[in-house]
Amino acid sequence: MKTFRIALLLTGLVVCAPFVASAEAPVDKGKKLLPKLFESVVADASDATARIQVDGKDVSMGTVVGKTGYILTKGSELRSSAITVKFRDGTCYDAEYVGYHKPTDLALLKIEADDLTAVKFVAAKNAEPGNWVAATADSSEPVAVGIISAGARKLFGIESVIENANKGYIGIRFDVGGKDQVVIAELVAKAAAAKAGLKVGDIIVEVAGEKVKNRDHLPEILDRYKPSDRIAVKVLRKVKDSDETEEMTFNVTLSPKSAMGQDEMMNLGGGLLSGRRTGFPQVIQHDMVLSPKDCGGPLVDLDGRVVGLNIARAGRVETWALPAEVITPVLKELQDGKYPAPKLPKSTKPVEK
Amino acid sequence: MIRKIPLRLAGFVLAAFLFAATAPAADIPKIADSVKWDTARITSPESVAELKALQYLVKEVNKQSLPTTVGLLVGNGAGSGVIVSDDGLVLTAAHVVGKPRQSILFVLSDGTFVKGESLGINTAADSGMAKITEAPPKNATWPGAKEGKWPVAEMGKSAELKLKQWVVAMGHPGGPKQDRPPPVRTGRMGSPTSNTSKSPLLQTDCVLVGGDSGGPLFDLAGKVIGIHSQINPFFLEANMHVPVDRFRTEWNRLVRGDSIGRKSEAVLGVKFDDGDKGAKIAEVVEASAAAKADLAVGDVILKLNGIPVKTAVDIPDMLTSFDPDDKVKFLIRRDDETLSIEVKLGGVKNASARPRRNQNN
Repeated sequence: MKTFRIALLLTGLVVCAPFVASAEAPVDKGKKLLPKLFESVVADASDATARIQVDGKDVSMGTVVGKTGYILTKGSELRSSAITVKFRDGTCYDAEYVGYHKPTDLALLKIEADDLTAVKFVAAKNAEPGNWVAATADSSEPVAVGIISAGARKLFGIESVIENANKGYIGIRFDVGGKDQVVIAELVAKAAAAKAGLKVGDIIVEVAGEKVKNRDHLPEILDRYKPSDRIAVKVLRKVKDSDETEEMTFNVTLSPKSAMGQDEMMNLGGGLLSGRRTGFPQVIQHDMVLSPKDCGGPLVDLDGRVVGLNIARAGRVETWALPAEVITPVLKELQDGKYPAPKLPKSTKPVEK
Repeated sequence: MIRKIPLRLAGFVLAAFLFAATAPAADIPKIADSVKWDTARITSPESVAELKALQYLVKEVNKQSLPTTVGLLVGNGAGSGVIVSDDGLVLTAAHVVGKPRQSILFVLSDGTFVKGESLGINTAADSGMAKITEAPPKNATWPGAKEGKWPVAEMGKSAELKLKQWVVAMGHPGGPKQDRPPPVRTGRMGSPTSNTSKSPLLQTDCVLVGGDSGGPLFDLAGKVIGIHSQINPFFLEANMHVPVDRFRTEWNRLVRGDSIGRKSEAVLGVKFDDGDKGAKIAEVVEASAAAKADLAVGDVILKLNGIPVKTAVDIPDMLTSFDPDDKVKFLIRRDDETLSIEVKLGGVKNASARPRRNQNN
């Protein structure tokens, strides 16, 4: 077993010594017995929690916010318009995608119902560090429990940037020169492009059958692919001792972000993280190990109060929830039609390669 | 064999947390019912009331530990630590501070920065000590702040910990962040483990990540029982901590800034009298650093860089953190005089490591 010392480098490099630990079972599963204890206190919130499926696959949880069929969920997980909603009493509905607010990643769905149990959010100040909380599901037992680690806060720096961190990474840095040409200036060591045989100086002309117009276009294309997807990259490479270039095609297997650095590795090694896990206006941090497909539901404390909506599995030590102060105004604007839903395909077919 | 692994977080914006943030003051509600949680209990809670009793203790520990949990910025790195004396001694991990006498910027839980430096380390154990050298900020509200005292986390006894006992972890995952007090996490004691140097470590399922290193592990009585050291990134249950007892066994050496276990190349060039209580020079090696600085037979070394020297063995111990060509200041007694003598240490830099203890030093 390899372990890592956990100091952190802000810039530059540090050398750390990993070690081989004795392979003993670390801790008993005592924490895993706790969700059962929450059943009675979270019963109302569980009634107001829906399983959201796209093309029949679990993608997120939903939080009922209006008894007439309004449900909030994590929008970036909705990849097609074939959205269905399932409650713990077994009832199922087709959902209409009403609106999407990108900064919060909140999507508003509407189902044909008129007497649902809706949650009432309490103010963020009630999410006190140390409080036990549960993530409810379409079942009596919550899917996970943990404690509030830090109260509602704004995000800064790289945490404030909106991106899909689960996309496939190619591991290239571009040259600033060359107007419309996408020239490789640097290759991330051991990442996708370097492994496939691309070289510094190569001009990228086509990726996955699509002409690359400029530097901004390449990330757009890559956003549609996952790590370990294999894509063809056509480049122009200078012929040695000549002014000519020759066209060459490489098959590149995209890397996960973890291939980019040790810090990513430490965060990603412990389990899946949400693709969209940064750029929220404010978050409450808790230490629950929540699967990305279980985000979007209510965050409930031991008094049954809904203190937030789980929005992202953000790292090894943290899951984030949006506080009421962020949700309430956005919900109203979504209901007023201020943020239309994105145009989604009718189903999530595998991408053509 | 130790393979070296680089650890990196690119693009972290240092300037982002130069603004002080205010820690939310959590109101700790009194628990109404009579259910209490025994701080040494090793079983899972069996009712909501018990869970609330456990929650009450975790919140108390969190509240108490916020002023004592600090972030450490050392060069380009970020780690954590905990204040354990009112004059500002901080326990941390050796790999956070790197080596003695490094300047450190400490980040308090409300985002305030104060200056300090690293003291002693034991790389094999991954224990490290540092010290805040500034006075508490003017707006500090803890008791004694006005008299220049730092808030103190009491040290517990790691040897008395029980398997499955509930514990609390504090620290700065991802490095100190603007608008975020150190996040609290809870979990239970697992089986002890050990690193390559066979130095025993505590293990818990309090989940840690880069930046937490050096941060405190508390028992439910709020006493420091461990210092975060390392993780196995593939197991959320594998979080390792240096037992606090390890610090206690080498306390004086850590406080005075030794690099415990390091084989220094620096050579002084003296021999001491055996059995003499003080560090009385019995022999000065010809053309050595000591000879060049005019140290003489019969001189008694009282202090090294201002730190009292009690016995001859202190000298090689203290020189572990110095390198050839480093300058050190000795305070010596010669006859009835007390003299201050600066010595430029000898030895060859980067010479192959060899034991120093048995040589003239």
